[in-house]
Amino acid sequence: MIGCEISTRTFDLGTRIVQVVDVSGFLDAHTSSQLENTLNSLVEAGDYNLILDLKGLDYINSASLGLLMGIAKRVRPQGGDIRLVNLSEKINKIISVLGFSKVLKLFDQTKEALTSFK
Amino acid sequence: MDLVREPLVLGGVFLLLLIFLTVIFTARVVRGRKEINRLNDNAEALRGSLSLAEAELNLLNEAVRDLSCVVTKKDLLVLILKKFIKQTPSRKGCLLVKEGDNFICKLASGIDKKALREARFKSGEGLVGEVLRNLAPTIIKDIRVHERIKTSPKDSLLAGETKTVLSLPLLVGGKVEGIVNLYGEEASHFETNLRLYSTLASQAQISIQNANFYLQMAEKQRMQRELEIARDIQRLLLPDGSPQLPGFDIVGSNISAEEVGGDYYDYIPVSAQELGLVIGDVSGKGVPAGLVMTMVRTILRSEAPGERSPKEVLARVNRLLYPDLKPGTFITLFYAILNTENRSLAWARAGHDPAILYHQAKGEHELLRDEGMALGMDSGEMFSQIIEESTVQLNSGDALILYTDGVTEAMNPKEEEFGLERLVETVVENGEVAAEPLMKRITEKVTKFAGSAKQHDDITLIVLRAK
Repeated sequence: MIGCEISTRTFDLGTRIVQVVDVSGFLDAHTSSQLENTLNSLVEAGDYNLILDLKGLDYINSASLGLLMGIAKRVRPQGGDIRLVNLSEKINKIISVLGFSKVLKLFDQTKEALTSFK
Repeated sequence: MDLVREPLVLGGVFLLLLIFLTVIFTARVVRGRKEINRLNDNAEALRGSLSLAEAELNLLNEAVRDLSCVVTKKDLLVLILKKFIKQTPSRKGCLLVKEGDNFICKLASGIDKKALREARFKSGEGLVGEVLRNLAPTIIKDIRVHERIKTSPKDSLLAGETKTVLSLPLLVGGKVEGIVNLYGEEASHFETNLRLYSTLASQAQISIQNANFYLQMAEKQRMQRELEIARDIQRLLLPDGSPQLPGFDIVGSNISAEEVGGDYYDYIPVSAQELGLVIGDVSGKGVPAGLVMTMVRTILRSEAPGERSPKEVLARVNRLLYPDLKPGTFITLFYAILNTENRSLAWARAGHDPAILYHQAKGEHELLRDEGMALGMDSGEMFSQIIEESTVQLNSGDALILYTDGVTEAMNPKEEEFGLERLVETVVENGEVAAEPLMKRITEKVTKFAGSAKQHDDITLIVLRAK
């Protein structure tokens, strides 16, 4: 089974701290809990401004997509958000078919996503 | 003179003989005493080893009895360490458990709390490294001078005041699953009782192995039961057969994956001449997905009758469902209403894959990809704003194919997806075929494509053909 890699970068925008979570590989039943743990610990630590960089992500299952919605629901009341960048054509298609693109902000580049938090 | 001398000579000889005999006798006695002493010593030693063996046997019996009635792995580890500590005069020791590439101190007795917090060893580090190389009980007489351990500050912290350690690897299935470290002042205690400690370690290994086996079995049984429950839920929810409709052929099927996905399809009477067709997919799998499916079905079946607007039905279902869903759970639905009298078809899409509509007369197909979002993502306002609905007139031979992503995302051993294109191709190629054989050809094609690859998701289809 192909796994997935998750790492976090921190950006200090002066007014806000934004955490960029890089996810690559396969987000499936076996690996979605890794992303869940990463995002949960960020939110629990008070990091509400989140960017998910999906460059190199080959597959995302429905549970992981649901997780992103769940995180959005938790951080938005705190003035934060979860925004997505670098979506492959395939993942973009899944997200737009589901209508997620209506509720989650998508960006082409990390820089744009960072600026959107200012 | 001779007569006088003779008795003297005789007396002398007799005396010499007596002395000689006395010496011999004394030597015999001494030797005998020595022998007795030696025998005594032997007996003592035998008694010693007998009592040691008896102690070992008792300990072992006790260990077997205690270790075999422990239910959880944690309790077992606690008991294992207790058994070792009981034999250790300093009552000081710890149990390291393998987690990934590290050995982490999970349980301890008589060790400073601060030292325990630090006690996380990489496989090659300090004493852990030494034991992993030896793969046998290892006594370190003085860790402060041992070449490879004196440089390991975490080992010094664990040892504290004590200098000697006996480290016992617990091998399970050929791999070191844990390490027991026992600390003391003198190496001689560990050297004398090494066999006892080793025997105890062997017993601990067997107990851990048994516990692992039972846990695996229990987990397997639990998963099996859960799979059966999930399958039962799905079977209860899915329709028994196909409805008989004037002027239309309709058929549906669900091939569930081993780990049941959250697929659902249904036919719901809307009015005397209208039938609701629904196909959907709940995020996640198994029993949790099955329970959400049950909620969706109940709400849909109460909201659909009498309502002619598919988008209104979906908006209502979303509003009613949203408050009861766990954050992160969503459902995609494609809902269509077929009017068998005027042969119209109305539909709306809640984040579900676009349906395929085949126009037989033109030999063309279209994808019904109206705007919409999955249920459970928004409390209602945005959902209602976004969702669209359309209506089309069905002509003779036209076909509607509703499917779940288990069809399009079915993978072959090369990890290629079946894809929407192959599905459309199959529909177009079989443009003249009735609903049931068309569905059979689609499932056959998907199954053939997947070949030996495992089916990861449910494969669900509804096929409608206008006569």
